[in-house]
Amino acid sequence: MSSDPLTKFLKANAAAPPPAPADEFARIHARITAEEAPRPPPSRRSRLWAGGGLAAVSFVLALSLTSMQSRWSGGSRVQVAATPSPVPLLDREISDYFEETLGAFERSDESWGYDEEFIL
Amino acid sequence: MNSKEALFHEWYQEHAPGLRNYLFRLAGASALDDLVQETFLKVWRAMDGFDGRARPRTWIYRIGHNTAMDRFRETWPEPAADIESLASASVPRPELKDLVAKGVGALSETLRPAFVLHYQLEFSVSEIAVILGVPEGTVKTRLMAAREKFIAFLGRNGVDYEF
Repeated sequence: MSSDPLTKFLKANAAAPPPAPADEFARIHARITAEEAPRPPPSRRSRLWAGGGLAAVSFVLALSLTSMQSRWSGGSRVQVAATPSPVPLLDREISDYFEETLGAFERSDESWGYDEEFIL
Repeated sequence: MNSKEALFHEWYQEHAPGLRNYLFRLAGASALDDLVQETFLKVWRAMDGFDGRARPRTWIYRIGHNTAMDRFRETWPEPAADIESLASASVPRPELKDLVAKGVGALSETLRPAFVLHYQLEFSVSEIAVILGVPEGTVKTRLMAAREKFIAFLGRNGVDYEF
């Protein structure tokens, strides 16, 4: 028992809470029992419905996947047809580069040759 | 009745009245029955994991406190006004019990749990720290502030005790 005067004062002057319902524990117990009760197995009819539903969903999913796949492949074919392949472009650039560079070398060789001759 | 059920029944018998008292002072009478039932339902669900580090009473009150906090997170039923604003001029002189209830109810939702647990239900500071999930220093600060506010409230309403 506390000797704090405030505690004594509060104990003496505090209103009591309303009484608990007489069947409070029974109510709690009933809720626990309901929560823990094993669920009854699904009936034959509900199992049939569930099976049918699953089959329908699978069918729709397969159908939509098939249509999406055909749309994707159609799209890529259009893309291939519309866009020129990058390979020829690259080849052309490389050949242009070599042409320019080798041409320059050839030209410079000519000039060196001329110089050597000149020096010798 | 198996051993879990027997222990649960024992805990209910021992702690339900005190918990009811606490929840009544914390949150009023409107949802009291629901809160007590909800708390003991949670106790049942969690008691397999109870490791005995805290006393069962402290653990059960903690569950009860959190249940009330969850319930009233959006709309706390009391206080209607801050304790500072309840001046004697605006409060008709009620009976002392009503005045005490008004003073406790007017403490903020942070101060009230510590005040009720310590001064009305005589929990120790360390137990309150476990129940509220705050450090002991915080509990002490809250107790001091709540005590000061409550005594000042009584003083403004003509109740001068030497506490």
